[in-house]
Amino acid sequence: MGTTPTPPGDNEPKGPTGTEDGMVVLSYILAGLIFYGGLGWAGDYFLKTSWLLPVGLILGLVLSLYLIIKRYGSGT
Amino acid sequence: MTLGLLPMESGGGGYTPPGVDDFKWDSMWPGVLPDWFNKPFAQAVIGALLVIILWWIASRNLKVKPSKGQFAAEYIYEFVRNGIARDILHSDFRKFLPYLLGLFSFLLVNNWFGEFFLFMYPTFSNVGYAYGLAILSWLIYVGAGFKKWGFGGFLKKALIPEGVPGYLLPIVIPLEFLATFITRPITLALRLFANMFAGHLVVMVFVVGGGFLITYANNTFFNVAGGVSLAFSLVIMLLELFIGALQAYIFTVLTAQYVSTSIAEAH
Repeated sequence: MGTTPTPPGDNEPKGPTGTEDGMVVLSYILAGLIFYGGLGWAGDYFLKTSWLLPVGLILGLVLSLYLIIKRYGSGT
Repeated sequence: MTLGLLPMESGGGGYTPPGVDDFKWDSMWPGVLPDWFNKPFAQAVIGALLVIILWWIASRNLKVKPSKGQFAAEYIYEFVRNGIARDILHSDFRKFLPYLLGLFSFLLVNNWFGEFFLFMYPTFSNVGYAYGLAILSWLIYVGAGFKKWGFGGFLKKALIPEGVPGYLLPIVIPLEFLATFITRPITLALRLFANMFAGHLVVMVFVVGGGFLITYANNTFFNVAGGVSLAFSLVIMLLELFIGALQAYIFTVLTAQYVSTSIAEAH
């Protein structure tokens, strides 16, 4: 890539990348579960239903995975 | 001689297994010093002083042909500079190197306090100290983002992912907000805390249980088992040395990674 002397590790196979990406995405998964699971729980609590919490958890997880793919999975 | 199979079963035998109560400390000098001046607090202060003094000594009298001490100090410095800061932050690494190096050495010293005489307790097995460091890292990476992109600019960069269609944004933005500002520091702190807490608890189980068995009256089998348990606790402590270094490394790498996502150009 180019003629400017870049420090080693600027190329594609970066040293520690991989493990820490896996730990960064953990915060996304938790965020999805907490937010939509929480909304589902609140809905169940106030509407006296019992199916909103699992739906919220699954929806949150799916959205988290979608965001992770968008943020970390596109070609880089 | 009866060979009880479960001498450490709760109830009989007078054995109290180690537990959460072993992580609660009173004032180091009751009546004189306030309650918050307990053992973890003293360790954190001593750890900070150690880090400052060791790096101060290490940075004096540098020679072209290094002595053993200088070699060791330069080894750690280069590990953090090249292995963590420059690899992740690329050209911006210089600004954040002092914090990352200080963070790594402070974590390393405090985690290794768990295996050293006189201390025998990892400071970060108290969750408050882990939260404190996580909040500091949070301030650094959020502050770096605001400084580089401005208030609205950083919020836009952090909250609106690229390539997501507009009709999905309302349900995705709360997730981005939670992930960036809330769950990141929490996972950072809890990972460190849980590792140190569990490791110290395992060591205590082997030491306390071994000590109980080795002093058990009239039962050679228990005494031998206790001796083996005590010897094995040394192996666990070696493992804890490794885990302490690993957790210090992970905390530092993740901080650098968060800073990097705050200040990186859009790709």
